[in-house]
Amino acid sequence: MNLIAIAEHLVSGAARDAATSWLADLSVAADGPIVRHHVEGEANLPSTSEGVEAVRRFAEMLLLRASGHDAVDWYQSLLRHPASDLVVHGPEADSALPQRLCRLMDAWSVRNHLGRDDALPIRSPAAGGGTTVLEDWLRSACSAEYLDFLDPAKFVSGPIPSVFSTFEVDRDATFPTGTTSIRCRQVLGLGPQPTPTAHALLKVQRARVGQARVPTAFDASTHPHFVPPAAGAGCGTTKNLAASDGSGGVREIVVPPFEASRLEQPEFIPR
Amino acid sequence: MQPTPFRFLLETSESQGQEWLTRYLMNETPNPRVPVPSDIGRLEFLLGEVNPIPELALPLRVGDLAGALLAKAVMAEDRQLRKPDFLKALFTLVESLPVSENVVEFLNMLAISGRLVSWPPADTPDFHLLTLRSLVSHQRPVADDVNRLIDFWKREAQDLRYASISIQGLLRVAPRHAVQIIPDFVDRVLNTPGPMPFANLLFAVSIELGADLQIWQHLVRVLRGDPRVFGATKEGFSRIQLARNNPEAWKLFEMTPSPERALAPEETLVLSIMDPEVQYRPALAHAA
Repeated sequence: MNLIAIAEHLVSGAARDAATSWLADLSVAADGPIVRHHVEGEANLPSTSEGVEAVRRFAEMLLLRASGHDAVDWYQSLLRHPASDLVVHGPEADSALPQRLCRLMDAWSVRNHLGRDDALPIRSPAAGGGTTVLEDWLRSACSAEYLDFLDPAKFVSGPIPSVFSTFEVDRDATFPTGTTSIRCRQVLGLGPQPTPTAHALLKVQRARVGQARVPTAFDASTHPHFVPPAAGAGCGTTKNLAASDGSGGVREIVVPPFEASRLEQPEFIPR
Repeated sequence: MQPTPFRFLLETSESQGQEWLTRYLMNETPNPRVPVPSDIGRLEFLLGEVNPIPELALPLRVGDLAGALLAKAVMAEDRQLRKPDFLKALFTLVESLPVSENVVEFLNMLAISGRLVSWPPADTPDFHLLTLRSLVSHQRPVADDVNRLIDFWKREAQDLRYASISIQGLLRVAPRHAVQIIPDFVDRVLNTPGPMPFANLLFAVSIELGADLQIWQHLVRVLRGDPRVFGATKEGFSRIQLARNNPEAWKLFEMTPSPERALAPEETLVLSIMDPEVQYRPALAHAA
């Protein structure tokens, strides 16, 4: 996608200059080259009227960026801003894709976001707590009694694109049972944790409301291993870091807000 | 393993540290330059990095910063700091990390008077429960204070909403007193309409009683007073795999005959919430 040309064509010469300046700032900002790579590699947005309109609005917002404002901070604040309406997803994903969705979650996230409120407080080893209590709790939360430990009424949420898009069929092929969380995170293209933790693979069934869509540069944000889908592609892919030829990986789609009719038994992923 | 990116907090002043932690947890710009993985929340990343550190300095530093901010939010009724998500994050840090004596004193005060605090309005976390959870972690029972804590936890346990966490509190200061009130708690759970699992409590009991067979024997003894309660508790322990984790304690349950009376249908429902066919209240989920 040629953002500079679109900004000039759809907005103004000033917007062209703002786009040029933003892209230049991205080149020298932390994580900026990733964002620039995504934006320039985006092929699906310019192919739909809805996408073109989103890019036009984005170019208008570029005019409002204060000089000196960190290029990535500004971009991410804009994406997060509830009124900006700038996160635009791509065309509808291939309807033949499975509807069962998975999400890889680290132990603390499971504990804080999905655990029941009366769960055992996890004390730090420095405060006299055990070193494996959190993992022991997560194992229980991944057992057949998971609904005794997790609160199914709590929200399941997370950043797109990778978290809701790990189809089990792909997962089985790329990280079979027993694979460490470090490896799973690599396969999903997620950044490493300085201190690795155990994870859980959450599975949600019958969870879709509305149509899943192909991810775009906007959805990818600073995701380091996002591969912009080609125009007309049914879904995106995340690079499998272990495959020397770059093949394999896990398919990704963007999922709209949805209702989870049932949370299945999670799977424990060792650290 | 890479060095944790939060070490710099040991070098900051108290006010700088508080300001940084506030901006970090509230996700305010300018973005504090800590490389948080894109799929992990800031609070969870901080916990994952700082909680496992066995040395005291950094966990204590972060725990104290969170405790000071919590006190500021509650005492000064600072509206900026009284956002529910932010308060909850502070409680989680205080609960999970070591804290200094002044923070413990504040938690004690808050636990006693917390129900009177004007917490943020409905649809937010139960902040009294969060206070009790923090106190469970940090109560420091010195000799003449133990009885006060025992009375406090027993009083709190009368309210079923706080009973499980109160028993967990008692388990850490007076395990025998905790064991005494477990049958009553199980009985109340069994008589509560709708599913109310107590596996979380049994998990805590299993952790806290550990390998102390005498206290396990005491637990079995008091549970045997009510066959229905004994049966439910035994089944609960079987599900959290006590047999595998602590075979000596499990033997004590195995050696005790099962209750003669069968469970009533409604009790079976409570115990069967793991049944995959049971439907649960739908949860809204968001992709972003």
